Amino acid sequence: MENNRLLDIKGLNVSFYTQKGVVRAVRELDLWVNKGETLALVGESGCGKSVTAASILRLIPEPPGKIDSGEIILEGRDLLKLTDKEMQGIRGDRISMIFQEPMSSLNPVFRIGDQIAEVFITHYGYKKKEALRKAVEMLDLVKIPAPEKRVKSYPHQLSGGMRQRVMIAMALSSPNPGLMIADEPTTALDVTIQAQILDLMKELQQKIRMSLLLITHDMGVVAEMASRVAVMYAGRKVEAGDVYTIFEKPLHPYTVGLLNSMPSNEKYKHSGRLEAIDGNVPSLLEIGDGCPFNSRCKYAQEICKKEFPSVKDFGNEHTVWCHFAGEIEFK
Amino acid sequence: MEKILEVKNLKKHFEIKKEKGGPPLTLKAVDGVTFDVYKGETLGIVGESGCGKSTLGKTILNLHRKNAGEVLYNGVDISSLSDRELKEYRKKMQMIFQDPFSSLNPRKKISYILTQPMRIHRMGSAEKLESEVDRLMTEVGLDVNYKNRYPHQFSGGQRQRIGIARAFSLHPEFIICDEAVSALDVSVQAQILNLLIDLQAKYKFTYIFIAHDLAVVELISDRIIVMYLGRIVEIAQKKELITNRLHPYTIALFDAFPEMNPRNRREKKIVIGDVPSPVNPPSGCHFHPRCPFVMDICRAEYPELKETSPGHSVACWLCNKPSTKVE
Repeated sequence: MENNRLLDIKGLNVSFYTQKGVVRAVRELDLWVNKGETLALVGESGCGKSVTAASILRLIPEPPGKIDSGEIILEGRDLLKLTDKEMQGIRGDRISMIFQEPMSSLNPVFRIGDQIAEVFITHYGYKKKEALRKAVEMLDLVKIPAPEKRVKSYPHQLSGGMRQRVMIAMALSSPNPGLMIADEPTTALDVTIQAQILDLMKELQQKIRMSLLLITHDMGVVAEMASRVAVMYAGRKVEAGDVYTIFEKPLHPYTVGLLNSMPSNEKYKHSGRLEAIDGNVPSLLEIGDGCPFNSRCKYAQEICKKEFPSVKDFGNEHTVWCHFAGEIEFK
Repeated sequence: MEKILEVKNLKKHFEIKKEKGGPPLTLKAVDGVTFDVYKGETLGIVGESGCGKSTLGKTILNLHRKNAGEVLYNGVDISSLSDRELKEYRKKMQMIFQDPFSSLNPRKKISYILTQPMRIHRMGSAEKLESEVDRLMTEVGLDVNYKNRYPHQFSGGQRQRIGIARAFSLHPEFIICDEAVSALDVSVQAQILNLLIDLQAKYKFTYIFIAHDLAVVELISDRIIVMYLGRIVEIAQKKELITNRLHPYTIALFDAFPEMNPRNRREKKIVIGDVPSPVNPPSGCHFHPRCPFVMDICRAEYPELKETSPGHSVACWLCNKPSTKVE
C-alpha cells in the first residue's frame, strides 16, 4: 500500500523556541496522504494541525520555529532536504495551499486576473496575454459568473465565497496539481456558501485526481469530505482511521469526547445537555512526556501522566495512541 | 403562555455615506420585524452574516436606537422611558457577547468586573458584593482563588464564563446571547452551552439565543426564527421547524449544514449564489434571486409573514397558498 502514498510524513517534530520556553507544536507525527484521497486533519486550536501544513510547505518562520527532525516525503523526495530554490519549484506546482481567510492571502492592489496569470507566467513561461486568457478559463472552472469581467476585479470587490473560489482557481492553476492543502477553507464562510465551496472542491478533486489534505475543527465538514481522518491533540496524533471507523467506532477518549461535544451529534436529537469534555486545552509549554490528554481524561491513570502510549493497531489502518484503547469502553 | 417581550414592526436602518457625493444610502439591517417571546423559553435566531440578527438583539435592548416599531417588555415600551426609568429595566435585561476578549476590561481584576454592575445599581455593601463574587464564580465553574486575576490570565472559555457571571450578577429575567459560543473551541463550546442550559433550568431565565450555527440553535432553543436580509422568513417551534420546514431559504439553509454522518452526505444543492448586499436588497421577496421556485409575484411584492399552522409562520408566496408545499 505504501507506493500509493503521495505524501508521507515520518517522525515529524516541530518546535517554537520562545522566551517563555520551548513549545513543542508537533511531536513524533506520522501522517500520509494517498493519491486521490481526502485526508482530514482534525483538532482544536493549538493541536498542531496548521503547523503541520506549514511544515509540509516549509513555511515555518525560523526563528522562532524549527523543524527539529523527521522526513516529509513527496513522491520519493524528502522536502526537508531540498534547497530553497528547489522548494519554490514545489510550492504552487505539486503542492498548493488555500487558507481560511482569502482576503489576507490575495494581494489587495492587484486584479485577481493578474494574480492568477502569475502562476501561468511563473510555472509555464506563458506570455501575459495568454496567461490572462488561462486565468479566465480557471475562473470559469471554479464557477465564477462572468469570468471575462471578473478577471479585472480587485479582491475587495468580491464576496468571501468568491475570493475563496479565486484561491482555489489559483491553487489549481499549477501545471501538476498533486496535493492541495486546505487550512480551514470554509470556516470564515456562511453555511450556504460553505456548501458550494465544499461541492466545488469535491467536484474538481474528482476531475483532476488530486489529493486533498483538509485541515478543520468541524466534524460536520469531516463527515462530508474525508476518506480518512487523523485526530490531533496538543501536538500529537491520537487516533487515525477511515472516516466511518472514526465516526462509528472511535477508540480514543478524546475522539469520543470531541464527537460528543458536537451539538449536531445525532445522539442529542436536537436537545439536551451535551456530554462535554471537562477542563481546557493545556498550554503546550506545560505538557510533559505523558499523554497530552491525561489532565482532561476521565479514564486517566498514573501511567498516562508518565508515558506517551505506543501505537495500538486495530486493523484496517485504524491506529490509536491510548494506553487503554480497546480495554476500556470510553463513553 | 405569558409574554415577556413583544417586538412589533421593529426597524433599524443605518445611513451610510456613498463615495463621491452620491446620495446617502440606507442599510436596512432590521426591516419590520414582529415576534413575541414567552416567559421561560429559549428563542433561537438564525441566519447568515448580514441578515440583521445581531442588530436585532442590540435594538431590542435599546443599545441601538430603533427607527420605528415597538419593543414592549412586560407590556412597557422601553424605548419611551427616560434614562432613569430605563436603568431599572437594564437590570432585568442582560446580554452575553460573542467575543470574550473585547467584552472584558483588560485593566480590571475579575472581582471588579463582576461587581461593577452591582455597584452601578447600588445593590449592597462592599462585603455583600464580595460574597456575591464568590457565589457567581462558583456558579459558573470558576475557581474563586482567581478573583484577583486579570482577564488576560484566563482562557477563552473561562472568559466567557466571566461574561456569563457578569450578566447573571443582577438577577436578570431576560438574557440575549449574541453568538455566545461561536468563538470557542468545540470542547469548550459544549461546556458553555451546558452552563447556559443548567443556569436556565435553575433560575428560569428567558433567552434569546442568536447564532449562525444551526446545530447550536437547534440544541438550545424551544422556538426558532430564521432571518434573511433584515426580515423574518420563518418562525416555528423547533420540532416543527426540524420536521416541516416551509420557506425555501430555511430548507436550503438546513440542507447546507453538514451532518455528522459520513454515510449521509449532502446531495441536494438548491441555493446558488451569494447573499446580496443588505444596502440594496432585491425587490419583492429578498430571497427571490437565489430561490429555485421563484414566481413573478416574488419579484414584485414582499410576502407578509403569515401563520400556516398554529405557531408556525412563513413569509413566502408559495406557502401562503395553502394548496402548495415546497419539496
